Amino acid sequence: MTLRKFVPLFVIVCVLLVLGAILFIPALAGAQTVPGGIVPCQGPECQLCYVTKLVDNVLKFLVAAVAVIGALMFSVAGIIWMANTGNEKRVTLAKQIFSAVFIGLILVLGAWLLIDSLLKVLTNNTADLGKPWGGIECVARADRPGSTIPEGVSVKIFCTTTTDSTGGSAKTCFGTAAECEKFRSQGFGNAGACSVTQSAIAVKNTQVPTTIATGNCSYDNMANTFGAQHASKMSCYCMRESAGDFQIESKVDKLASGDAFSVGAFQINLTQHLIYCPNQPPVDCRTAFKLDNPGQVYVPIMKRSYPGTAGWGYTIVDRNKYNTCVALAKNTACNLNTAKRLVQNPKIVYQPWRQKGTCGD
Amino acid sequence: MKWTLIIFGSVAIITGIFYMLILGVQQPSVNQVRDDAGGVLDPFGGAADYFKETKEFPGYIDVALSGGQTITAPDFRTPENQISSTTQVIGVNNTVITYPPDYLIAGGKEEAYSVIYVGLDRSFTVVLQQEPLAEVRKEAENALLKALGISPDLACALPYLVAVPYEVNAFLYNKNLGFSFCEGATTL
Repeated sequence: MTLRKFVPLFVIVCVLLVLGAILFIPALAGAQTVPGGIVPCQGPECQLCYVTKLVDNVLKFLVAAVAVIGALMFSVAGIIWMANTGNEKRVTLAKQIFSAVFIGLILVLGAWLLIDSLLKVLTNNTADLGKPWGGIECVARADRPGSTIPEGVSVKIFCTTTTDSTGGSAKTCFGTAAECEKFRSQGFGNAGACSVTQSAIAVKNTQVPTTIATGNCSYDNMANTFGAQHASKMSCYCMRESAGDFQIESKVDKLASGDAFSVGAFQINLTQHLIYCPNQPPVDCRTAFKLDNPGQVYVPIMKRSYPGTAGWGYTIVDRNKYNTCVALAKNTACNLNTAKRLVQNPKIVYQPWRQKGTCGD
Repeated sequence: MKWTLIIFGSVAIITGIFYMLILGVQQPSVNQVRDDAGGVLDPFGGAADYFKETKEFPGYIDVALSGGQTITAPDFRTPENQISSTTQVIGVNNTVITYPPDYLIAGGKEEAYSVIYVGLDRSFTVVLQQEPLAEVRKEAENALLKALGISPDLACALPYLVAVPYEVNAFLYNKNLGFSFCEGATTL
């Protein structure tokens, strides 16, 4: 085969191979529209920014093809030069191909850099300006009809990228730039510069929930502890008594000494009840007290009187036992187990907490 | 020698250009990652792997926001702040529910409010312990924002509860009053 026939054939075969490779490599072929393909979006999430993204992707594809073809032409020129050492005319041709391809590549890559930078300025993607391979980032919007992105409020967070010993990287985000910078100063994983990220947080989740879905008194938690049939009622009682602070001591149920007699999640009245901790014998807290005044006792904080027999008329006679009982009532397992025994007793179900007009009672 | 240089030069250029282009084209084009069902896993962008990890940096805690997103905050889980121990509650059908410790972030028994980190579901509970509730809530909000180093907008996405016991206010118990700056908050 003569060189005149070989060179065009070689070029055609190589171009076909390269184009075939480009078309069948998923990352280059645009097999997936989001992310990584030439077509950057689909459906209602497409917006104006994606037009520039599409132009950017097409440019990248063409530049890739040009670069590969240019490299092949380098090879062709090299072969011509190699195969025609004594032929000055052919050597000159090879040199001309080298210089033409080199100048062509410089022009194409330079033009790409310019156009890409212009697109980035237009789409406010200036963070990677001067790096054409950095890509244009379009922030998907939730407020388009049919969008699958949660409708949200735009919140600024400040993120830094860290790397671990295996080379893996992770993004760590903070609520303020100061916190992000403080984290960086700790030197974890060579944290990079803090950059602002706009995060869309679902509006429906930022609205105040109407149900008690979180915390110690949540419906789910009460269902797991007391059973689904008692969950709603117990969640309400729990919220009414402690509002989810399982260490709380009553500011109203107080003895004349200032010591609280209702304590913990369900405000177990220590003057009236035993405390049942799981797998332990019950502790009779009633023996820590003595009833001094069975009549009405004035409670200053409420500016009214209450029955002394309900607790206000008692005094502490065993301080150590009182302290033990307070600690047990603040123990989640003991408090909830005691409440459970009260709930499970068919004669006194809900009785300690029942009060007309509250929690459906 | 000349041919060796030409061939090696060509190979180097091809490899370099391909490497550069392939790296560039594989950049995620949209600031989100989707799960198989098409839902958004990671609206922060590029951090999907991070959100799958549970590793926390020493002195920091990951706080989950609504929608499965996470931010990092200074760790308030110090021994001094711990207000309860790990306990096991016997639930229905004798299932064991483990309660991790709760932590008092701000306020306390003698204060007008308590801001508590609930270990069980990694949420925040603000208990208003005295009137005037509007002022007390404001103080508690500021304390929480300062502790976590976050803006009010982010705070609205926290898993949280602002509540008042019956003995403090007989009309507002059993309700999430919300942070004053969040949509749907109860006006006090």
